[in-house]
Amino acid sequence: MDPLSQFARTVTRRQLFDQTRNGVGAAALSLLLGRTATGCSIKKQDHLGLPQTPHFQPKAKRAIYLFQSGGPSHIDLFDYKPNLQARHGDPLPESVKGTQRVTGMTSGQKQFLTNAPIRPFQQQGNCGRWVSDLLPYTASIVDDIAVLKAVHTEAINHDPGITFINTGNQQIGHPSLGAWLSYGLGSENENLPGYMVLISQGTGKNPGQPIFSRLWGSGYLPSKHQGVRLRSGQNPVLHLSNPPNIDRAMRRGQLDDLALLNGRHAERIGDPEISARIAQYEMAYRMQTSVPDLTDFSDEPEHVFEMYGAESKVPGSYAANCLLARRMIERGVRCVQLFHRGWDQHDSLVQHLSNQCRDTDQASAALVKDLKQRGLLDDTLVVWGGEFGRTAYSQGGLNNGRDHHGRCFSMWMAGGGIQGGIEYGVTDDYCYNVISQGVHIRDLNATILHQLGIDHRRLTFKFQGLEQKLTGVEPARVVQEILS
Amino acid sequence: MARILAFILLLPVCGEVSAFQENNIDFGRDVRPILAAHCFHCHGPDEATREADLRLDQENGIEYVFGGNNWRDSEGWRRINSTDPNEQMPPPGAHAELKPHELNTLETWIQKGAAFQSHWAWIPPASPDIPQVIDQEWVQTPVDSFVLDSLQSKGWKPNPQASREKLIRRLTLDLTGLPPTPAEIDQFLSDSTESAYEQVVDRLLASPRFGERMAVPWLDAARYADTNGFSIDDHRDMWLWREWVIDAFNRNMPYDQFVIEQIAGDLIPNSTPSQKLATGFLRNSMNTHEGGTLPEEYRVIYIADKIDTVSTVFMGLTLRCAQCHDHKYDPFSQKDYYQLYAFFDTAFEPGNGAVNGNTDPLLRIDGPLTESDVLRRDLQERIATLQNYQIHPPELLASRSDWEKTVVAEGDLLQAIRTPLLERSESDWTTINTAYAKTTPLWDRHISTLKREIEVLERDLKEGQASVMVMKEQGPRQTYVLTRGQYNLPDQRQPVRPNVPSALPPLPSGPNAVTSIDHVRSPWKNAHWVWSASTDPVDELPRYFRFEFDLSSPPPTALLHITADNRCVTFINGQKLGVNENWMIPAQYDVSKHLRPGKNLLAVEATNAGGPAGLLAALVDDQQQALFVTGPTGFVSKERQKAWISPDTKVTNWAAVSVLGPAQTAPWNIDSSAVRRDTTQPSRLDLAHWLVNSKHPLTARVAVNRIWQTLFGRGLVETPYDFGSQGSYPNLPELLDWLACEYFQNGWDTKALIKTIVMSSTYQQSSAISPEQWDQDPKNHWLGRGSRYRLPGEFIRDGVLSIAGILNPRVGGPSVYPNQPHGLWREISHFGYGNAFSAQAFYPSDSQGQNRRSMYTFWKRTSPPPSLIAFDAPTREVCAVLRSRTNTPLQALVLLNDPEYVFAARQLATRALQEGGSAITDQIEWMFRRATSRFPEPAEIELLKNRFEQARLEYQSDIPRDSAGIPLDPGLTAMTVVASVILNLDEVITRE
Repeated sequence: MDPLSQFARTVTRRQLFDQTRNGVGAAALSLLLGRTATGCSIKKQDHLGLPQTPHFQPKAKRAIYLFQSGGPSHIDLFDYKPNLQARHGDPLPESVKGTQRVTGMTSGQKQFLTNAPIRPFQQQGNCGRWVSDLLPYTASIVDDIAVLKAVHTEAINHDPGITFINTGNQQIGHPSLGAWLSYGLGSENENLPGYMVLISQGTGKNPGQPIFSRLWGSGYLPSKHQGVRLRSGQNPVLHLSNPPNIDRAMRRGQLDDLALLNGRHAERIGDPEISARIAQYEMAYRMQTSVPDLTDFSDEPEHVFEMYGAESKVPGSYAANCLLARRMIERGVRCVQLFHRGWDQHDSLVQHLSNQCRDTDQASAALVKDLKQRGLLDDTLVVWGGEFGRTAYSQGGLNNGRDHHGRCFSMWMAGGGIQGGIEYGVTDDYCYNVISQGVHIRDLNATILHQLGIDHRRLTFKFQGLEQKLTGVEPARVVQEILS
Repeated sequence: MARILAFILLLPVCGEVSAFQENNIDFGRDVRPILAAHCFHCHGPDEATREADLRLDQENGIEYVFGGNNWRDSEGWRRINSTDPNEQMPPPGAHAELKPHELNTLETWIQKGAAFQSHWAWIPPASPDIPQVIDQEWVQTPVDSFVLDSLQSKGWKPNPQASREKLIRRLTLDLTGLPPTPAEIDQFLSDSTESAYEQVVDRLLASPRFGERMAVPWLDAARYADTNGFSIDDHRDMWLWREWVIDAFNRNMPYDQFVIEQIAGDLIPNSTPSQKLATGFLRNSMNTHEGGTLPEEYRVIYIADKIDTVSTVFMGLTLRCAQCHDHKYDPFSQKDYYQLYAFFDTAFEPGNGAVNGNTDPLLRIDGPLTESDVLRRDLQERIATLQNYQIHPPELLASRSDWEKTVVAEGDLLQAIRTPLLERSESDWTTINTAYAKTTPLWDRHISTLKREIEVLERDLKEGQASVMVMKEQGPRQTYVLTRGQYNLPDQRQPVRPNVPSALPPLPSGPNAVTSIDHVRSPWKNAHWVWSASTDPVDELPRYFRFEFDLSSPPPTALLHITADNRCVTFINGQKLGVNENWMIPAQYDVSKHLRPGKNLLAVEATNAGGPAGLLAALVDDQQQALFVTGPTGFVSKERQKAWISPDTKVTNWAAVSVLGPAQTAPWNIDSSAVRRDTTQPSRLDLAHWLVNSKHPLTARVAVNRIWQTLFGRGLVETPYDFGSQGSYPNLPELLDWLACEYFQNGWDTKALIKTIVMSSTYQQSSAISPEQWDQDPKNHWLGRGSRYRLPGEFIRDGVLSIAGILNPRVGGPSVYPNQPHGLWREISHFGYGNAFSAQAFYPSDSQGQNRRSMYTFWKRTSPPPSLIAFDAPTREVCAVLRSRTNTPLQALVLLNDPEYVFAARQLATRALQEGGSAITDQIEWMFRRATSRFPEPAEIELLKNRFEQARLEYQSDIPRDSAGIPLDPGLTAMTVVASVILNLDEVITRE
């Protein structure tokens, strides 16, 4: 009888369990795997990225993308134009409006009346950044963030817009930014996925515009790079919990059997992929503790919840997700992306926009502060923004709402080698067109990759005969001006 | 007919010079990829980025640069080796530096005369000579000669044949997507005749499971889904087309017909409903009705998706690149792209899609596999399930139960709550739900969403048939090259006609070429717009119309076309047909079943919303011959009379309609010849015939490669989506071409081709790998062993259900909703929107729909079935002809913990206790064999028996309970633990 079978005959669950508890189980297992590999080289560890990345010394090791789904109004939040108040109710000049595309929702409108910001702006921080009163907490971090005020996109509707900014292409089928990062850089933690996604619904427009798994999908990249959506509740990762009547010891026993039986089969058949499978079962087992450890906030002191706001104790809220993002970053997750829905104020602008800001303002600012206090902001890139901005003109009556606007909108970035206390980008008096320092969303994506040590021209994957890139075929530029 | 034609045309082709060179350095395999990667960007097909007017994808460019008497002095070689940044090629900074081995290859090639050859895939396949090999005994089919010849040239040997247990398992998995049953295995093992294996092959090819298995990759390729995809991603119905696919494979439809019907079934003269149904293939494109949509932008997107799909799945071409500019690597210009686009541009498809269902044009038809009474039962059962959810929304059950325990109740509520669950009346539940609903906003949202879901089903129930989106011509349209692919930038200087790419063979000319039949005639000829009398003031109140007409014998097929400015509700013989809200898109109703001999009545409630008012209708047979058109014969009333829609009702005081003019009357301009085809232009049907013409260099190769991939896990061309210069070179090019020629010589007989392959020794090899083999050929390019790979998620799940004995064997039917975790759709969707949309929240099927094969699982594109996505299923948003094959911890979590798999393990254990014999070891062996198709080794049984005994011991001291708290049998629970281990074995989820 071969040695493995003998081992299988003599091993008892108790023995193996004891070994595992003492950390010996893993060693015993690798011994087994070594024996079953029949001289074949074990594949490169899955959690590592490409050998050639990073292309240069990165400023950021990790990224948190606070994605505001629906299109936040740059006019009402960051892009301060003192004259707009006086022009409230005036028709938007034709010279400003131009011939650019308008969505089917307002293209038939008889009038395009200028709509001033719904709340006043104040200068904030040492840098004197103008910020709307809607964002009192963000106002407190302006010295740590760079506000990009002339970001632009070609899309004018949600689906193409949100697909474009997240996957670099309006056409369907391309990998998301996070999947590219996972592909290029892998994960720093082999017990957690490299790219995790958190979703929350705002109180502005409920339900907000639909979002899609393609926004964190892997497109043509191997599907293991797709974002893993973490949900609130018993199974933060789908099917994480053991079924009823299977406790952890019982599961350990099952996995030990599986390892032995699969190991025996590997010996018969010689395929190293079997060893890889055993390793994946072990990682699943570790995730069963690493994920609950991640989502269990009981080790957070009260002052942390105070900083992020009362909602941070409500699982699944934006505030809780911000706190969760920090905990993921601490554990080496490469990329965390929040999707907060509800920024689509076609109507009820005053009430709904205020609600969206209240949902997100405190926690977004707290995250930056928290990372800074913990010394994590230096090598963590934080990005805040949505798929487009909103029109300076009102949709329907004045102060009713605003339509989509891709010609210019505001985003902010912080940490990870981005200068704080600056703004970049100039728009016209109506926040309608870029005057200078425009940042196309391709440029934005190139800049995000750059901060993580990736040359966007060189992170490629061959598909359909092309070396595909996140930034596509058209030119993209790293926005050097905002880098520290 | 097409098949015979293909065969005749083939003869001169086979026997021509092979596309593949015998030399050590093969231009196509070795040199072109280097030039393509490093040079084509500036010296390739794309005119816009071409430098120095030099093309290295063409012979004269190669000759110019690398030719001459002394190769070392050639311009090309000098530039490649230059260190002068102004001279050096590729230029420094272009990120295209040549690697040393690439330099070596180029050097050898130039030294030998820099011979050029067209890219292999542009040259039609020539039937190669079958190599003579020494070991004739090993050769079962010509496939083996090619493989063995290649192995022997490397000094390698093929693996021995796999064990018979492995063979039948492999065959059954490959041809049906399910593992064999122990009885099937026993029968094969006990059959020692020579034809035993072949008999298994024949049995499996004849199984209805075969069509299901073959359909799965085709659903990926055809981006089949049950939702619209963009934005709100609501429900659509394309499952009738899925049935067509299964049926086509099962009936062994010749591949040329398979291609023609899916691309142009609607244009085949006197096409059958089934042929029209086939064109659902093209309509699987995603669509949108997002609020701000500019329709033309999306109409263009839908066409682009069709081109992407057709060029990828039938030709392995990456034409998508040429939508915006000339292809960088392959000889396809942007103009080529728009010529192809023109074939599809004349079809009718609104850019703004329908809400909660199918977008015109559509067809109502009985399913190829589902009779209308079966469908009616399906719909009724689903409606009953949803109605039950209106009282008990699955997602809120736990929360409601918790609430009941804490609520301070009095009166009726107290009474209702005190009533035991099973004894509660409907009114008890109403009382409870009314009170509970106040505490949870989700309640009302579920109710409105469920109402919508039911409404969608009732529509089909009322029609008695489901609908499917199909292709239909709209009429001539001038196509232009779109500048940079932008829908709103047609280049007026570049009008194009439908045509095929110039690098490929031309459209055939001659009598069988351009189909000269005017396939589609207008239904509107002689139809007139009518309304109430001109003295009747224009308002927004409904007008009621009645048109009586006589039919001596109603034709088997009759289609009613109808539209009203602005809205109409249509009834025929008292039967409601539907509502049309958009006068620009006339509704089409199949009324075949509603007509009767003698008097018939068309009744219409039409409403104007200001401006001109009018109603237009035409009833035609399948030859577009009018049976009835609107004209002076109708009557109109402002009052709605009782039973006015019934043909038996006599109306009085109704006025004669006034006739406003023929169909093309302004402002409506519905062209009475609007659906005519310009017969001087080639159509989609010509395109389809061109694809399956024997001179086509790609179609057969791409098809046989896909089948090879289906049977070996990897194509001979490993980039099935790219046969162009950037794709991978075929591993055994002669074998690929032999198979391609064989395929069309045999009349595109798919089952015969598959049989040829699976009868080979190559296919039957063991998949064991020695360390030497692993070092020599880790990916098994050279086929010196059987393939071994993890099964697709669909077949893993189907297999587990089958092993557990709970697979529902029904073939075809509407999609089903096996359980998935709550909230996955809701959290990302438009769930709860005031005017609810369909497919925004997931409502599981009843037990009948739980254990169907996975190909029937409802596919929501923005949140696809999670347990299939975990195993690399594509999202079905765009066409996909290759799945990645990853190995992740999330897969382990699914197989160990997904309640579906947990349930299957319990069922397997239950059956083992009942049927597996009395000894524990027998029961374990019984499960093991069902799962793996082999008997376990003694040590394996021993291990699992230990697990069982320890688990039973634990459960005896700590009694397990089900979710309701009822104690479970320790023995069964322990056996379930063992069953779960067995179902998770690598062997079970792997094809080997």
